[in-house]
Amino acid sequence: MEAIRVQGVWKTYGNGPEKESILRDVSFALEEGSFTALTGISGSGKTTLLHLLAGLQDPEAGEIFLLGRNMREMIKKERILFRRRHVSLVLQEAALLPNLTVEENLALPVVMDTGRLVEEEKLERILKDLALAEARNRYPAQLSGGERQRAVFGRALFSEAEILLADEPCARLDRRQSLETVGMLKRCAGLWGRTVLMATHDLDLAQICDRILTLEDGQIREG
Amino acid sequence: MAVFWKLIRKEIRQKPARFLILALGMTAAVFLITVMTIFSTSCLQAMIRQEIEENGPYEAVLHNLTEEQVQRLEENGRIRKVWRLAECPRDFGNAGEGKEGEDGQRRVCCGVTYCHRTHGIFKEVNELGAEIDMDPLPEEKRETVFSRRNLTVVSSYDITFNNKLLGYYGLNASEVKGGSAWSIGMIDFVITIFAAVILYYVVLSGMEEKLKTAGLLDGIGISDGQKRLYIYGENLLAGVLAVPLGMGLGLLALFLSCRELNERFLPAYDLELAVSPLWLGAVLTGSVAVILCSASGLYARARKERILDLVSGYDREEEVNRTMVLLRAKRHFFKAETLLAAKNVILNHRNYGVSCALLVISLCVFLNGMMYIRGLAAPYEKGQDYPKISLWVKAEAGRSGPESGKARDEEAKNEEAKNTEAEEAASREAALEELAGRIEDLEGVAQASVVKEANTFHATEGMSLSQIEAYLDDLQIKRYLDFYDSDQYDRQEAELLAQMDLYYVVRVLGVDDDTFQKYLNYGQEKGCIRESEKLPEDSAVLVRETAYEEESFPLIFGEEICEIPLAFTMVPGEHEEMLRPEYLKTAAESADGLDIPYMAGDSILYVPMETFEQLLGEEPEKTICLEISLDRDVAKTGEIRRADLNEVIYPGNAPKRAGEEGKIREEIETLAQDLGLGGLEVVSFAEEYQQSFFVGGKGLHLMLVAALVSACWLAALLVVLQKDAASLRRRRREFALLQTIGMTRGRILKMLILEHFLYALAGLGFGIPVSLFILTGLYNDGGAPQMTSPGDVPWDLVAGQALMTACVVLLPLIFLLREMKNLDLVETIRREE
Repeated sequence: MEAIRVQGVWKTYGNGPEKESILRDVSFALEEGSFTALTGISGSGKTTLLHLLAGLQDPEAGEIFLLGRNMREMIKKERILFRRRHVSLVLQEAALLPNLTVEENLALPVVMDTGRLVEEEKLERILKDLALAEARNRYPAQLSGGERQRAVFGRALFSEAEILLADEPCARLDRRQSLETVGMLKRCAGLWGRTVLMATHDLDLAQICDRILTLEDGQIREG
Repeated sequence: MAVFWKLIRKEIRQKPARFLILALGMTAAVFLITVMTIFSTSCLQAMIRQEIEENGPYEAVLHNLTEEQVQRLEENGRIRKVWRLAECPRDFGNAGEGKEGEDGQRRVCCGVTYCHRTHGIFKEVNELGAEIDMDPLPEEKRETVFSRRNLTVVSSYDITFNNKLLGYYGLNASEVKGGSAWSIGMIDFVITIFAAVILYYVVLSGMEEKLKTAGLLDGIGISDGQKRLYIYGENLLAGVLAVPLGMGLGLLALFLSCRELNERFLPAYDLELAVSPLWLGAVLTGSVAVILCSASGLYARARKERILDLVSGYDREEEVNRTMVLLRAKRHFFKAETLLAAKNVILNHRNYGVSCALLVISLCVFLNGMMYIRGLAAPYEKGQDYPKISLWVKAEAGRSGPESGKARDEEAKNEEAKNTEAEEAASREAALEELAGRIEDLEGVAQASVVKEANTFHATEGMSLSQIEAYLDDLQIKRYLDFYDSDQYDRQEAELLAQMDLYYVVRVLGVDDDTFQKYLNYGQEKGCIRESEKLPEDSAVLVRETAYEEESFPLIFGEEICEIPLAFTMVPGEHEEMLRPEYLKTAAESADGLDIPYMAGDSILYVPMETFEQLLGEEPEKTICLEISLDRDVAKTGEIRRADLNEVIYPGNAPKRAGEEGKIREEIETLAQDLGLGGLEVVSFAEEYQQSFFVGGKGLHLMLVAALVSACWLAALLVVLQKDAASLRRRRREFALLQTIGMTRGRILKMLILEHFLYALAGLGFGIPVSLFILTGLYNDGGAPQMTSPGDVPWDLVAGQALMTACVVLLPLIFLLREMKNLDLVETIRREE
């Protein structure tokens, strides 16, 4: 079953003569549980595409379907709720709240959904799997880059988001940490059944993924 | 060095908003410091001038001195100047110019100023007395002149100090006395603290960017001095702009305010701006110090933190404050935003703590300042509020001038003279009544009531003790006259004393027909008189506190008893709106300030003028008052309303009212001249009030405290605004992150509101009890005479505190909400990445 389907998406920046189409008629589909790399040179529109998929921005034209639901048909509040429950966005700078511990950062999306229980056992298991058990009570500033990224993945796993969008997650990591992180994402897809789309300009890391999509001149091509 | 200036300039060009906020914040801080310090000093100097003008420049008065002692005093090294006083400022035995002491020598009182105004003048009071060889006072007359926890000085000589004036110079003889230069110094200190906190938040708003750049510069190996220059540079540049601007604006505001205050409030005493080069220098130094201090925290962090921490924005100090996990519980009873808000407040407790402390100070200043203002401004005793009448004309009807009483005594035997006088009095009364009619025709006048009272009528005159007792029984008045029966008095003396004691037990006031009819209409409205009831023409309206059940009221004239039928009884308090507030006195007596004791059971009979003439027309001395109400005080229903005291005391009202009343007063005086009425006194309440209000530095105190309360709240508002602006800049990424993980903007706003609410709640939780505790001190110090006990809580002001807190917290929140609305999520994430 398709987790993500993008159909004829257009996105432009600027006005008048400076108007530039960053995405031009982009279409592709990703199967559930797949691990896909999105490559392209800097400024090719990788981040924009991820933001469109996360519902942070709207395309000028085209449709985006996530888990069979058309993003365009959702009102803003629905889209936020959908993002909270089904999509996890991993940014270059690990998106952790500085005032919350690792454990609290993991639990936050669940706590935000009033009435949902924080399953302690599941939390323990994820922390253990991500080798964060020791760091559970530490704050983001006290973690290494790799640990921070793992904590973000942990949040995605704990909130049971089916789609994980990672924007250059290894940009600030060394080679060992980068490999560790990509390995973690692969496990997210394989072991936990998440659909992972990772934007990266590192072709070596992209090779680890099941599939590679390349953005070039605003259009997407396979491989 | 030049490179760094270039870098700073470039940064300013790139981020003009940051520099502008910094400069504006500094300007606001300098403005506050300038305005409050110069205003408080100007007020202090005006108070000193006023005190000197009213009570003389003497810091101490030495009583009962001989010429020789005066000479020694003049030669004494401690004393700067000596004045011989014609009248002794304190009622003391045989002191004063030209009087003689027990030794037969002439004694004088001398006021002195000291060479050095220090607490030593109290401590060395006995040395001074001994040096000039003053006569020691007997033990029981020795007074404490100085009192501190560990030191009490009792003067062995008759030397008194002008503690009020010395208080203005910063010398307090007693620990609890207020109004000194110290409290004004405290005001300046509080405002400087507020200004410093405003600056702290201004600097904080651009701190992260600056620290990051400082870290990068550190990475390429800049020295400590260069780092200092970089950190302080922008603040110094902003300071160069802000200090003259803030001081200039402050002086301009002060100049305009002083001009306005002098025109509106201070008819007798001018408030002059205390702008001397010395003071300006002090303000300048203070402002520069605060500006430099504001950057010192930033510099300390830049020096202390590791380069990587600076670049990454990691706050090591904040780590120490990390606290317990709030979101860990299995099931949450509070929503995520509530928990996040609580955690943010706990984690940022230092920032919130500072704001909270300022809020507590503001609450204390507000409650105590307002209570002090109320104590100064409003007469709180019942029946002392603003009367319905705006002006009154006082006239002695029964005699033609001040000398006539004496003349009357001498010529009493002369029947012809007696007749002439009676005729004169009658014609004067007629003229006054005509005057009342003409006054009513004046523009702006709603009503002129004539009130007449016989000054010579004494209800118990000529009665024996037993007759007085019987009369009091008739009147259902309980008074204990038994002690007059004791051996201490003979019969005549006892009767005389009893009569004097009951001088005002019954008073009869004649009012014109319109006024009397108004009373009757009121009685009918209230159901005290049945409409069908036919009242006798000579009926009266009785005013008294205790019940009186009879249908008529007995008045005794010599042997004759006259029963006055009663229309109804008005009870003070119950029928307050109807009664003239000064019902216990006539307007003339109110103006004279006579204190007539009114006791439960004392009765006032209002009778129509015709009845009054029948009963007391023969009395030799009468007072006629014309009580004048103006159109502006007439309610829509046509009733003369009682003006709220606020209408009189608040800005512009008293002078405006006084101006209106002054014009009518002049017109009345012209009318009186036309009618040949001399010796009239026309009194305007607003004028009297305005003049009395600014005596003794009261008005200046009030203005100073009002300025402090306003400045504190303005500063508190600025502080919270700055804090929010700073927090928004620092937390932009946090808000964006929360949105990316699916928190709606509404819930983020809720979180922010809750954070503010929590800190406001903490502020109120501390502020209200602390301010009430300080209020007990103010009460004990005599600063809030309207309070009945230390536990007398002014609930309206406590509600005001809550309201003000809500304003201070919510107004900046509106700014925050607006900024949040404009926060571009994608842009923020991209910028942060």
